[in-house]
Formats: sequence, C-alpha cells, structure tokens
Amino acid sequence: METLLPFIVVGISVGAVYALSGVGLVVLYRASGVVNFAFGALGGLAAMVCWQVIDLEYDDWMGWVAGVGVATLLSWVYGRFIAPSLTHQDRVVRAMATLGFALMIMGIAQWYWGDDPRRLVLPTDSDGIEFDGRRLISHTRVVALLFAAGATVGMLWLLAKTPLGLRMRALQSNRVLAGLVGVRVKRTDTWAWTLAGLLAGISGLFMGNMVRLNPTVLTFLVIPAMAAAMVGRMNSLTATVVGGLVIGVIESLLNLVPEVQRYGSATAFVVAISVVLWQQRHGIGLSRDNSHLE
Amino acid sequence: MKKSTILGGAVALTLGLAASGATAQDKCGMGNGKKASGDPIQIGAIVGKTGPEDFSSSARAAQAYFNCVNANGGINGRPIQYTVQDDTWNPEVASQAANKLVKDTKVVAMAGSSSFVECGANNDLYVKEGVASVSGVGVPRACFYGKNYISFNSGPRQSTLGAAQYITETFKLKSLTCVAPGIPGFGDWVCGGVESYGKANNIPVKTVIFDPGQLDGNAIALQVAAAKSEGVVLGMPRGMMLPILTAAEQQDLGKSAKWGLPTSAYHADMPKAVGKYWHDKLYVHMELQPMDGTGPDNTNWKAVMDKFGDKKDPRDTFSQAGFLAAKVTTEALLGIKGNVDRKSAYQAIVGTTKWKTDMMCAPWYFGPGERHQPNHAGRAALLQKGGFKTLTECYQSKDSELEDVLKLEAKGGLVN
Repeated sequence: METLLPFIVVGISVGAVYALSGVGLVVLYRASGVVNFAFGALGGLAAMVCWQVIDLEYDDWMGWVAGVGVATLLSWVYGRFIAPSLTHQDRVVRAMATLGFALMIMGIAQWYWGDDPRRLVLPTDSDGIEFDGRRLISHTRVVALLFAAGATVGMLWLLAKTPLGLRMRALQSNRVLAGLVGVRVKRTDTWAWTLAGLLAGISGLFMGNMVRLNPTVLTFLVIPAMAAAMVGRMNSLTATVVGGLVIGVIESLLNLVPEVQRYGSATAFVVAISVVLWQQRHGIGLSRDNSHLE
Repeated sequence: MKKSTILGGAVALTLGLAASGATAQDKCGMGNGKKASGDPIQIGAIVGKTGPEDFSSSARAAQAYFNCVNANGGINGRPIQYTVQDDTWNPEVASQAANKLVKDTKVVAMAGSSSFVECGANNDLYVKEGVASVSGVGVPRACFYGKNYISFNSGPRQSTLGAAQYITETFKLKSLTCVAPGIPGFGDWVCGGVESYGKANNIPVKTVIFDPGQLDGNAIALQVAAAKSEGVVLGMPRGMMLPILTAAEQQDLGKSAKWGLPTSAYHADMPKAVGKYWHDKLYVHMELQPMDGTGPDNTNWKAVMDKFGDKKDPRDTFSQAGFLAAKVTTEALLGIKGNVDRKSAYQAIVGTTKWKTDMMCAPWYFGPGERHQPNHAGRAALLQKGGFKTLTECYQSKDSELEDVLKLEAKGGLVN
C-alpha cells in the first residue's frame, strides 16, 4: 500500500481537474442539450492568455482573471449568438458545431503562441503535501480538488435552489413546454454557456499548470472530461466527479505496470465504454433525450 | 589633408566594411545578389507540424536559406521552389505527402525534413524513386537506417546518451534512470543507447517508458524518485520534458540526482520555461555548435534567419540542422555540370563527402552506406539563468550501435 498511496494521491489530484471539467460539460448538457467539444480549447486559451498577461509582468491575479474572463466571454458569445441559430438542428450537428469552434480556437492559439517552451506557475506551487519525507503533491493540486468539490456543490445548489436552476431543469425536461410556460430559453441557455466557460477557464489554468502549457494538448483535455461526464450519464454531477477521480487514479496506477504503462491515456475511453455498457445492461440510460420536442 | 576629407574617408570606409560584412554574413548559394528567375527546381520536405509538438523548425530554416539562395542567383539562375508538407504525426499522411511530392510535384530532392513518422513510412519510396533526402532532423530509428535518408543531427538516441555520458563520467555516477515516451521506434530505442552504455560500464540503468498522451508528469516523477538513481536523463521533445521537470521540482528531485537532457532542450526559451529551481542543475547535450558560436557558418545561419526567415522561427539546434541541410543540398546542386534533374541531384548529394562546417564536430558525408549517421559527437552545456554555458569540447558518443558507421568511416574517403 505504501507504494500505491503516492500514485493514488497523484491520481486523485489530476482526476479532480477531469471532474471539474466534466461538471462544466454536464451543466451545459443538462440545460441546453449540447455536448461541448470546445471545453478543452476554451481552457487552453484561458491558460495561454493567463501566461501572456503574467509574462508581460502584470500581477498574477490579473492573469488569472484575464484567462478565465476570456474563456467565459467566448463561451458567452457562442451561447448568445451562435448556439441559438442551431437550436433546431440535430443534436449531433450542434455537437459538431462546438468541435468546429474548438478547432478554430486551437488553431488561432497555436498560430499565435506556437510551440515555444513555457510554463504557467501558480503561487500554490511552491509548497505542498509531504509523504515519506518528501513532497508528494503541490498545494495547487489540493486547490484543484477543492475547486472540483466546490463547483459540484455549487452547481447542485444552483440547480436545486435557485430560479436559474429551476429554469435549467425545466429546459432539461422539455424545452418546448418550458418556453410555453414562460421560461426564457435563450437567456437560460446563455447562462449555461457562461457557467461552462467559467469552469473551462478555471480547469484550463489548473491543467496549464499541471500538464503542458500548449493549446493543442489542452484542447484534448476534453477527452477525459467527456469520459467523466459519460460516467455521470451526462446528468449526475456527483457521478461525474466520481468518474473523473476514478479515471485519474487508474491512469496514475497504470504507471506501476510497465506492460500497460505506455497505454495509460486509453483509460478514459476504457472507463467510459465499460460504464456505458454496464449501464445499458442494467437499464440505465443517458440523460433524457428531449430533442424531439425542440 | 583637410579634416572633412579624412572624416568622409572614414565614414566611407566604415560603410564599406559594414556593407561587406553584411554580405559575408548572409551569403548563400552563388552569392551574386541577383534574383533567380528561370525554371524553378523543385525541392520538398515533410515535417510534423501539427500534433503533440511542432517539429517544423528545421524546414523553416531551410526555407529561409532557400529564400536567400533565390535572392542570390539561385541554382545557376534557376530559383528553388521549396514545398513543405505537414504529416500531422500520422504515417499515412506522411506517405501521402511523400507520394505527392515525389510523383506529382516531381521534386529533385528532399531537404530539411523533420518528423517522427515519415522515415519509417517513406524510406522505401525514396529508394525506389531514386530521391535523396537530406533531412535536417532525424528523430526515430528509421531516420538513421535508410539508404537514401540522412540527417544533420545525431538523433535522440545519441543525444540522450551524450547527456548520460557527460553526467555519469563527470560526477562518477553509479546508477541511471532513462525516461522516454512510448512512441514506436523511439522510446525503447532511445533508452536502449543508455542501457547499452550502462551495461558496458557496469552501471545499472532503470528505463521508464511512458504514454506520450499521458497528461500528468507527477506519476512519472514518482517513478523516477522510486528508482533512486544518481542520474536521470529525459529522452524526449522539450514540450514533454516540462511537466516532468515541473513535477520533479515539486518533489525536489533536482537535489537528489544529476539531470541530463538531449539537444531538444537546447532552446533559448528553455531557461525561463523551466524556472530558477533548475538553473545550474540541467546538463544539456548539443548536437551542433552552440547558438552563440562565432564560426562562419553559424554566423551565416543567424544572419540568414534574421534577413530571410520569420521573426517567430525558432533559433535552436533543429533550425541549425535545417539550415545545414539546405546549404549542403544547394552546394551539391550548384556542383552539377549539365541538367539538374532527380538523377543528377541524387548523384551530387550522395557523392558529398568530407563536407566541412564549423557547426559540426566532424566533417559531414552522405556516401554509399546502407545507413547514415555522420553526426555522432557533440558538446555538453549547463542550463543557466538566461542561457547556456558550454562546458566541453566535442566528445564522441559511446554507442555500440555506431560500430558499423565507425568501421565504414575508418576505411577512409568519407571523413578524411
């Protein structure tokens, strides 16, 4: 167990960011029915903008605000001006549109920043949790875990206790009827996109710090996040968080098995497929598909 | 003599010297200052631009050099038309790109390529079609085992071993860990060089091969820590190094082991990217001359990049290699008496031997070998705040895999 423990702790810390990203995907899907492939690209852009502002020697907090702000703003723009024009399109078309948005953001970011070596340093990097006489993880990873927990609780509260959450749940149940009884569909959708952009920006800063500060690499962060969301059937925030943590831990533990270590990044796919198959066998489906009512 | 005449003479002399100096620094090809305008000569390159890491630095430098050649008379009046294709790190795309360049564009030669996948995909095609490929940067094993494919760099295996050799012999290390990504024909081959060196010198080597798609460096750093080796080498592109170095810093592993990196880490932005924790702790192997070297070719490389390249083009070892690939190809083509076509280009390029440049430790050659590895020596540098400090003169790589290459060189005619 002494050998496993450090890998479990490290896995939980990176799984927390998968979970945080998964929560962003689920919240948007529940409200608008859109699978957002641009989540990772928005996060990548947030990290790059943050790095740029700090590199220009502005205060760190200005970089964080700028990074998260740009991701939130772009997501809002998409939700306010592009997504509504696709409302009556097939669900697959709407998902593919976000993929186009992702490739556009990734392409521009890659063109502007290129591939030069960079690093996004956060103040919480300088200290960490010790194990067996040496530092195991930085405080940044602890903060990421707290953010994932906070975002989940916050979103659960928002959905259960606030008028906006009520409107989101109404849209999830039946968009047409919700509109007929006075729910402002476009405005509620836009709020969901804005919240998703906020979570994408925060996840991007953590990933830019923990992984690689590279727009292309961060764009593909959406894959484990999507797998986590699939574990939660694109519906349950709690199950999504658990899915993210499980993927992170398995990925980390595979490093102890040299035979499969080099295939660790397949973990997200394997977990997602296994869970979906298991759910099908036990009659558990995805979040109710109400697209026929749109 | 009037004072104004003396002053005027001094100004004229200064301007003249400055002008001649500038001409000498960015001299390319025929160096006559006349724009080439004849029937273009087609040259191609394949790079891995889009993918896990941008590997186009080499072709960007080659493009700058060819632009300079075209502004200076081209190849006896004919401009070089340089077509660069992106293989997106996909062997299938690399194969399609090579077929397009070789069969449709009808390139006379390839120059300045740099890819993780194209050598394995295209070596046979180049042999079948009689195309010589002078790549800037060979990456996986296949790039050093093709009859028609040659590189200017020594490759990640030699460079990782070069870094391992330096830290082991300088600090008398008794154990090593080699970390590399599990890319086919890359990771095992790269660390295989360190393993064979360890075996020959009775030094245990632990190899960690990780999934290149893995997002977190911490789990890799944990394995490095568990190995408790006295030295660690990272055989990989610089982008993959950063998360591992960040995680190793967070676990304070820079103090418990000596760290060596291959030439991919020799980049002007690297000291800033790794942060001050790693300053004076990272030993980097250089496959070519230091970037601040003052030899004529190195000075020319910098001048050509400044005048004919893009401001954003990297100034790194891979750029130096691409510049040299374009230079040797140009000189071979200029030496052709008669029509420049694929056959004459092949003969001229393959016939290049004893080609001297201050950017390499030894003369470069193509020659008739079944495989090619003319660069197998380099220098070591220390990463410091704001740059790198060169620590050694050239030293040879002690790789058992070089036996056939050294035997061929010993026969004479290639290097001396």
